Amino acid sequence: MNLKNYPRRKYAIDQFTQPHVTELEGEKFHFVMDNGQDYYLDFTGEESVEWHWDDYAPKQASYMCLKGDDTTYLVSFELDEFIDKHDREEHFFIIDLEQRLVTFCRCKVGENPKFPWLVSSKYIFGAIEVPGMPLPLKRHVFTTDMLGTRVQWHWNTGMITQHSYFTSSFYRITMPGATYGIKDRGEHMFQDIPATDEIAQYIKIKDNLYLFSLVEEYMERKLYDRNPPYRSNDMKFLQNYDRMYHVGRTFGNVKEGGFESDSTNVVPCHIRFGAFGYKPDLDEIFLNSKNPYAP
Amino acid sequence: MFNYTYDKNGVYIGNLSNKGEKYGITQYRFSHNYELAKKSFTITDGTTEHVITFEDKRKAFVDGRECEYESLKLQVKTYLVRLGYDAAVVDLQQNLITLIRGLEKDYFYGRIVGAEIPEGAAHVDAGDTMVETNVAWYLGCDRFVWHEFLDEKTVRVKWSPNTSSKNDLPYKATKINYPILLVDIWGYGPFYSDVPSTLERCIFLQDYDHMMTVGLVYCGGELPMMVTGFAKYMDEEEAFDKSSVAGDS
Repeated sequence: MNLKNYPRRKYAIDQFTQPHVTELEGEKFHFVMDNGQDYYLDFTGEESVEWHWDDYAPKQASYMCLKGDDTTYLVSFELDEFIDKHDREEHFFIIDLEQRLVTFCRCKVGENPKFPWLVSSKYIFGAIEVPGMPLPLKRHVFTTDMLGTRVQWHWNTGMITQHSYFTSSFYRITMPGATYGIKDRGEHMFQDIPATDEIAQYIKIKDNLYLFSLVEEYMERKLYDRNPPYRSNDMKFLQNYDRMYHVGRTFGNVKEGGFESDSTNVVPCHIRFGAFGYKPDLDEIFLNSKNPYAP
Repeated sequence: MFNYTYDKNGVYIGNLSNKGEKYGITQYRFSHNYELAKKSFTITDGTTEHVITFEDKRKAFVDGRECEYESLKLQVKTYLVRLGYDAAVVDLQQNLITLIRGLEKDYFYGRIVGAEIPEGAAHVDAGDTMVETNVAWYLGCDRFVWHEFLDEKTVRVKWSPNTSSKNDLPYKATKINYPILLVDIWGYGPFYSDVPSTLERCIFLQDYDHMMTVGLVYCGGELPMMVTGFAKYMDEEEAFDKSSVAGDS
């Protein structure tokens, strides 16, 4: 048989994801964070972790882990106490063993009263305490290094997106072969230029390794009147420009049945993803359209 | 090859994706995986035993002989490992390890001694499973190998960018944990292509669910190169699947 026709499930952004990494099992970390607090992480199993701030009692969680390079890990887990509630909360880390640095992000649903599915996020940088070694002064930092980068991401055998990182607060997305400026919203949302600018953050982990993060917010605001309900995801990409791939995770909510379904139900989403980078093929109108969300 | 962009004064606007060409066919190679470190396996086929010990993240022993190793993970408990010049598929889902010694064509199909083997689990010849499969594996930006499996023993191989050169080569396919297959192709590489013309053998562990591969490329007696790739159907127009958005997962 042509294995192209293997009866696989329908994949979206998670076909080219790398497998969950378990090699941190048995490791214990003490993160000295720049907010003045300490965070402790104990990888007690292949999927289980124990965490706590300062002297608070440890709590259990199930984690997912991916590698951005040989010594840099993306770790994400939801807090058990919020899992079946509206106001879900996630703790997200980039653990950088080469430089002994850590980036922490707390992601939370439900903090915006007008858009209750919106995911808010707050970053804290820090360093990894290693007995007998001085704490590094260096930190992962917000960066402008990525500005100007235009890249194509292959997510599965049929899904390609193209990103342009054009300002330090937004990114722009499209697909190959898009015809822009179509007013008929029956066409795909990514064609609705310049509506696809979205809030983004850019963090430098090390040369050629960056954490790119976006929140699905503005497109949702624009579309939810005709395609309710409003929902949102926080997507974090650990992008390796040495090897030209990224690994990541998305946390938030999706419409039951997918974006184009008629359902108005919202279901939780927290999955791994990954994609391979490629040369971009971008139209002038895409690159030069004004960002409607910034002065 | 990438779309370089300059501002109105002619100053180059940096683009990190322009760095994506430096490693040739090993460009997309996944990060090394260290989950096998400090693990030791005795494997048997019922008559012979081998012992593979992964001492740390880089050093291993095969029957007491030291070698450096690198491991790539394709599925939750499935690894392709280069042990010096040897190769192994370590399948901890089924507690099976297939060992391939140097350039030998015969494999050692081992079961891990003392571990429970699920009923019916085996690494076995894949028969005609691959026949009619037509897929290209992108190993780097614009660098791919295109496989058309003509029959149980022959695969047509084309290496970018020289796809006019069609090499019909012998292959052997092994079912690891279907749809994960091990594909072993013997033969040379065409001139003017992205693979060295000293190519001798390619061993690819392929996941036909996630459509990704990790592999070993043997060239001219050098240490095999480890590669990673994603699948593209060359007989299909490249398109964006409009029904696929993040929300579908």
